[in-house]
Amino acid sequence: MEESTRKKNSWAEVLDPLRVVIIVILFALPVVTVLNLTAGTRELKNVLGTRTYGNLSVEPVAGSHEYIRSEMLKKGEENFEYTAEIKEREEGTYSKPILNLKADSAVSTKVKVYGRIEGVSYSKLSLIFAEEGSGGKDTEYVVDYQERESSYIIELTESSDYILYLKVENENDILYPQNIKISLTPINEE
Amino acid sequence: MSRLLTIILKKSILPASLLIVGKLIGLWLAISLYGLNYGISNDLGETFSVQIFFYDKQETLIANTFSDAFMFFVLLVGLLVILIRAKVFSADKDDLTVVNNVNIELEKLFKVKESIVVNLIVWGVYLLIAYFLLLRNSFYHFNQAWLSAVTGSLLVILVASMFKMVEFYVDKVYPGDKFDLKS
Repeated sequence: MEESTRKKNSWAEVLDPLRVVIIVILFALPVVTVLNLTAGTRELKNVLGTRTYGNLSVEPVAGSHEYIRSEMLKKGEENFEYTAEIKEREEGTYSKPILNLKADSAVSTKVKVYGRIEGVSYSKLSLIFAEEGSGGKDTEYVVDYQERESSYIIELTESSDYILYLKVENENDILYPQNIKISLTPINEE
Repeated sequence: MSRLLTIILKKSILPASLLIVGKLIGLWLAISLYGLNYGISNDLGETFSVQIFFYDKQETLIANTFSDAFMFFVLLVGLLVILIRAKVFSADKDDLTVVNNVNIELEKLFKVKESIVVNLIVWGVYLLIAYFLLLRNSFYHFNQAWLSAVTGSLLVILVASMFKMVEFYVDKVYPGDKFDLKS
């Protein structure tokens, strides 16, 4: 009897500190988690400022869109990467001006464009290059259609401004949001 | 000591989980109801590497106010349930209440043990933690200031009732001068 009491007490001596530690964790963990879950603000202009790469400068077009949201522009080592999210939507065409491109050089600048819409869908993703002041000289490039991706090399006329439009077409309703990724890589011809 | 620690441990799991779940559900509700445009960042250099953010200050304010309020009220409801249960199903009530309780087979809800005091204290502490987190967010303008005023007032009322209840149970264990032989 005494032996079992002694054993019980020694177990309690071992387990008590462990219990205290678990209790402390049970109080600290929710605090840290809730602090982590407290949302912050990230101004879009900090993310989507003008970025330049050689002769090409890329600037986001301001404005919000009902379906195309969470736009971000990042400058990678060799390219510009634009990402956005398109919300769940009914069948139809959705379009938004996304980027201003400026080729600051005496000669034309070549840019390789590539785009992708994530997820299995039959959405058609196109990019429209509209040269400002050209009187409707727009060129459309289908970069992703029925999960077939294409890349294009586009020649931007010297000292001219372009507006790049994003166009998404789908024949059926899409019931979930999708991520869009567009890459613009200036081609150095030296 | 071991027994008390075990009770605290058991009683802490639910409010600790509710604190996190309440905040999460509150955020999700705010995003869904107001159609907020959010993002999740992954900055390895910062204290919290993964963080939810909004692109607009107003949206951040709405999301934090809503989620903080939801988190607080979830814990508040929990504590109220314990208080009401302790009050209504107290064995110290008149016979009629007891008979009614037995009739509807609620005997198992009689929790008039020492654990109810611990339960009240644990939930009270978690509610205080929720309030301090909410107050901290108000201080840094992450949520709207009126929220801390409203929840603060509710907290004062609730803590007062809680103390009364704890006093009631302590009196039951240590009757004080009721059994004083001199009187």
